[in-house]
Amino acid sequence: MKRPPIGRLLALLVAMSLALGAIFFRLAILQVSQASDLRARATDQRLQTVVLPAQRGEIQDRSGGRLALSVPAVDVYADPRHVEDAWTTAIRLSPLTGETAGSLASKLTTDATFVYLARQVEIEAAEQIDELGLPGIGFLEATKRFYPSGSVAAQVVGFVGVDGDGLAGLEFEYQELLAGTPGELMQELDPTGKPIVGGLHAERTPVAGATVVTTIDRELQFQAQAALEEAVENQGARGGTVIVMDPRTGEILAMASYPWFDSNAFGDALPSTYRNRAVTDMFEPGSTNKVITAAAAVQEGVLALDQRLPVAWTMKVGEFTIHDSHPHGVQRMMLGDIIAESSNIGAVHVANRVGASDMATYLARFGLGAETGVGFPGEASGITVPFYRWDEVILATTAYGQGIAATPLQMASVFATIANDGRWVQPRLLRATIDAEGVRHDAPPSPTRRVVSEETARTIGGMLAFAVEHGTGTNARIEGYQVAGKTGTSRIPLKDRPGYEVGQYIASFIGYLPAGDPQVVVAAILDRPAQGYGGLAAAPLFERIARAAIAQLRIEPANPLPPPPHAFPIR
Amino acid sequence: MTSSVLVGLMVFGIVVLNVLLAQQSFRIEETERRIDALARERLGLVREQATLSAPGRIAGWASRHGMRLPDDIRILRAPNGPSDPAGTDTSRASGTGG
Repeated sequence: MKRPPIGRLLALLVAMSLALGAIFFRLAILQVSQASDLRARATDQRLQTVVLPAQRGEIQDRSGGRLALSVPAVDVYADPRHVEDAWTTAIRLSPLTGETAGSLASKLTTDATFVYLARQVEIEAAEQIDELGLPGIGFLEATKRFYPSGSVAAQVVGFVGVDGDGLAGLEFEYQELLAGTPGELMQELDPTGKPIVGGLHAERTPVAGATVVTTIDRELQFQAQAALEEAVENQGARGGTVIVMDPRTGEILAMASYPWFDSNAFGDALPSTYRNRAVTDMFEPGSTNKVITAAAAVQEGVLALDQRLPVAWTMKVGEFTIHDSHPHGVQRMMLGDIIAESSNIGAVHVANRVGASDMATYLARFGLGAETGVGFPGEASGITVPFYRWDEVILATTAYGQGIAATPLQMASVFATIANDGRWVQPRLLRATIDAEGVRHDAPPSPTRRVVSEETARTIGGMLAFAVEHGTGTNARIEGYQVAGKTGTSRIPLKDRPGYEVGQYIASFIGYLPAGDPQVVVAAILDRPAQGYGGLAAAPLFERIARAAIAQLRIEPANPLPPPPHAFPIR
Repeated sequence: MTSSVLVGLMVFGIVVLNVLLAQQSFRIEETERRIDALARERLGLVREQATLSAPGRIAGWASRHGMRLPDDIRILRAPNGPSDPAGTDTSRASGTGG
């Protein structure tokens, strides 16, 4: 047998060595340089990471009544590649999703691998869809925000979008607090998709959002809204606003503007109804502003309470002629009469004695021209004229509340200041929060500041009570209780040019009770009511809401305040 | 012979262990499903409670059953009661306090 030549053997050895070397080289690359990358790819195939959504916190009223909560729901999606008959599928899904068959068919024929057919579908409806056994249709767990009281406090509570983020109201203001922190679950799965016992399992538990406890009283809010809706309808008004607040704490017990909407179906409502006009919109306060004029005069001592001023029914100021609401001869009024009769000319005389500097100071002290800081998105600051632009006309119109603008909440706070013995308290909507562990954190007391002395406040209170008992506010009287308040009938500025709408008014009545020991402030404002005057249109609305507050808050009568010196005979 | 028995026992043990692990896996899955179902039921009950206690629903129900809000409000004080330390002031009860 002939032995192979040594050359061929060597060639074979070299070839095998090279092949072996290549294998070792490749192994080295896989095991060393690409090891971590390949290990990660292998792990990714076995590991599943799922985001665990945090339960959004509730929004409650002051007694724990739920105003907003999250409930389980399902998102329905489709993979159009696996849908067999788009139109048949669409027709069968339409009644269960609330979408039109045309819209669904359009989604089912898109060139995509994933398309939402319906978001936040009720569990029962999703189960019915599942029973249809339609190919290409899938489900994802979701939650849906639910507002059990519908339109009650809707503008305060607000609403969330389909992704669960707050878009308006307190849902927006406290988004971070309510949303909580999502968790994460990482687990190792077998080829069938089941978790491997003993495999990697790491979970970061989601932290549920905190519960926001508001200052709103759900029952009182409902009654205030019912009264407002009825008043708007009776008066043929364009809309209206009501506020009920505790003057001692600044807590807002009820707040609404008509027309409103149902938070559960906000998409069906006009966006203009979303606005919480009590906070975001301004109006010229009219005669309710005379409270500031009178308080400044009493506090600064520029006028004795029994001093009589000659009040004609018209008055020339600069190039303008201002007048009272009704013609009358020259009357000798005391401050109490001016407030009770709501005389514009009288208020101008008083303001002239106070002076522009002090008037501007007291407007600011009472909170006009600055946000209250109530804790609500989009709060307006109101409009006051910068002091360098003040002249005799500004001073005169400010005296009876025209030419300046305030939010209903600012004006309610003005009366709350008088009711609270001259101390302004920042209004608020947040009473407490309850964290994920169930621990309650009460909101700190509202900041306060002294505006006028206690004596001045009670003197003004007596005048406001006198105005209700014998002046323009008699429709706000409640038997058994001394009510203090002031009517307002203000003109509405034109939007596109200087001047005012003709024959259209904002009617208001803002007051509190019992006058001797104020427990609640109520602001009632109607936009363009048929009976234009505050005393005719808004005072009855105040009276109805105040009655509801008495019953709901169990307010007892208090010792009455004495009437102010007055020249006019009691009506 | 001994080694065959040993290997057989080891194989049997591995099979038993695998079955137990699979069973445990199914039990965990079942427990998680039950937790989810109970959580959903709880939220459903919370929703029902919230719906039933809504003031609009209660007012509507009361109205359908012929109830309405009172026309007048009167605070009644029991003589010598806790809210009337003096025990004599009953004038406010008749609505003359203001």
